[in-house]
Amino acid sequence: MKNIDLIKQETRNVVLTVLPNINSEDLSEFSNLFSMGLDSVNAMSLILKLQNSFTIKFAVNEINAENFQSVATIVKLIDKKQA
Amino acid sequence: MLEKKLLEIIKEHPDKTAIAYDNLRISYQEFYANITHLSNHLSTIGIVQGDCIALILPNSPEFAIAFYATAKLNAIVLPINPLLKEEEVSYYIIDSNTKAIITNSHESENLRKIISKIDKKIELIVINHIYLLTKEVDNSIITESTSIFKGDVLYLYSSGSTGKPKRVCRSQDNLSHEIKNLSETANISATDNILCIVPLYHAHGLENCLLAAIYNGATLVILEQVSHEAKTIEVPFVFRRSRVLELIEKEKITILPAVPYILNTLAETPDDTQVDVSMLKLCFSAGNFLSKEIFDKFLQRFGIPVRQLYGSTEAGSIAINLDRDINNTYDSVGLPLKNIEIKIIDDAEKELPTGSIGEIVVKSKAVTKGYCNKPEINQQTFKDGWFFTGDLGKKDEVGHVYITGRKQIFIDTAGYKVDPLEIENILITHSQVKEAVVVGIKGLYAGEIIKAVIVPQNREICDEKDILSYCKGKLADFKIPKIIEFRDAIPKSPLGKVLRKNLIDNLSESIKL
Repeated sequence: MKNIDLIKQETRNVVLTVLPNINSEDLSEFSNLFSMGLDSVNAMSLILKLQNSFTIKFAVNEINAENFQSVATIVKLIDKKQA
Repeated sequence: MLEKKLLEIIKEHPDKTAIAYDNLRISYQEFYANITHLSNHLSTIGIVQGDCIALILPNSPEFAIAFYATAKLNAIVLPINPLLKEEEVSYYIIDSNTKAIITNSHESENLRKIISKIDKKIELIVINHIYLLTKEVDNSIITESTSIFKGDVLYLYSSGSTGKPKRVCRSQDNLSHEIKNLSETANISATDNILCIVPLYHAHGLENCLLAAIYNGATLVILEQVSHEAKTIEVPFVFRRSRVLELIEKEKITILPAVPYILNTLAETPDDTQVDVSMLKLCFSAGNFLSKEIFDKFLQRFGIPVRQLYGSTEAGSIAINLDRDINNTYDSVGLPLKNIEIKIIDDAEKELPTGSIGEIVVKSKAVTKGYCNKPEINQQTFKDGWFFTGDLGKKDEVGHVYITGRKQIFIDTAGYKVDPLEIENILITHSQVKEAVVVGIKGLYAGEIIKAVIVPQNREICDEKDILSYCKGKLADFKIPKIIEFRDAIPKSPLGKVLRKNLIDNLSESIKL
């Protein structure tokens, strides 16, 4: 499996853990996470879980709505950070 | 009154920025030209003094223009949270006898559906972007508009411990006094830049941000909304933090009205992120008690003590702690604002001595004359010019006020105040729910988490997802419970009172959200 596919799979898993009421099949790469229940209560959990899973640390200016709007944008951010 | 004050400001600072929003800067003169344009339109569709106009708009220049355009016609503004669902919006529109709704194109289709189900004519006015009219305001307009209207201008709803939310009506006179009191106490002036990151549909945003800025000729910087597929969406504050810090620095923000949850998120900005907050002279928290933990964290991170402000829907801002040496009184809401009196009284309505806890009563020209159509409640709440807040508190020897108990139980989740009874009333209408109690559980990052404890009719067929989806159709997303727990019975005292505390304690340790 390519690195980007691994990132995608792991990111999806983390998102589904944080949003337990979402069915796996309803979550596409481009689904808007804010419309699917990513809110102030679970947002920090998502950030911390992603940081732990990928052993990275997001900079404050990377933690924005654009980067965290979908699995695809999160994957892009993580891929860039790992490069 | 509000228009007269605005015209005085325009005369003095016509080209000064009234509102900054993303790359847009609207001068006071342009602001007034837009207000006049919209109020003329409202007039042509028949809006007159005393009519209610609902604003269903996100924080935006359009909201500010619509507010002042309505006030210019001596009509009444009803701000509604755009995140509310059909049933919630319908209740407010019907109860307030709304004549027109001002919204944007994202909300318009949904609102048309809501209006079609209401058996009365309601105009829908869609404004997307401000027209950016630059017409100069000539002196004749200023002379024409010098009549001072002191009547009703604002409806806000205050949820209570029983029944539906009560409609609070505040007049132009009330609001003018409130802002004057706050401005004189906190030294707000035309040199200030106020950052608006709290909702304008709420008293905190409307009064402490919009009106405080415009009344003083200051600049209101509004945090821009995030859109997805042309619809404004709610984004957790942590994803706006970087932009807010950028705005504080770039726009030289001097005043930041906030709520504890936002202040906590800002204070958690890692130390390696450089932030220039040197212009910030006043940062205050309202809406809920500010914990020592957040106060300390913010002070340590930015070197700025957060000031607690006490206010209510009925009276607006009442007290603020501006102590120089705030470390010993951080948990106080300070002294009453100028021209406001506060007393602590006992059950016999006798003033209590220093240190004794009793009900907080307030006297000020900013206080509403009462709830609409609630004569009995008004008799108990407004007596001899005093507003009986229902909150409990005490004073120290200097006169600092400390809040020790709130009349209303509410859940503070991510800066939203949610009435648990409202959610319980929805849950109980589900066919599989026999009893329901909603409580707030302390979360790690965003205040409390909403938990519903449900006694099902039949546990075999009562499904959590079905209940959540039922709630989603009737309640705004931020009110939907995060946790549902099924039980055979609700714990109650021998007298039948629900023991809410027992429901909070049991799961609190396992919450890791």
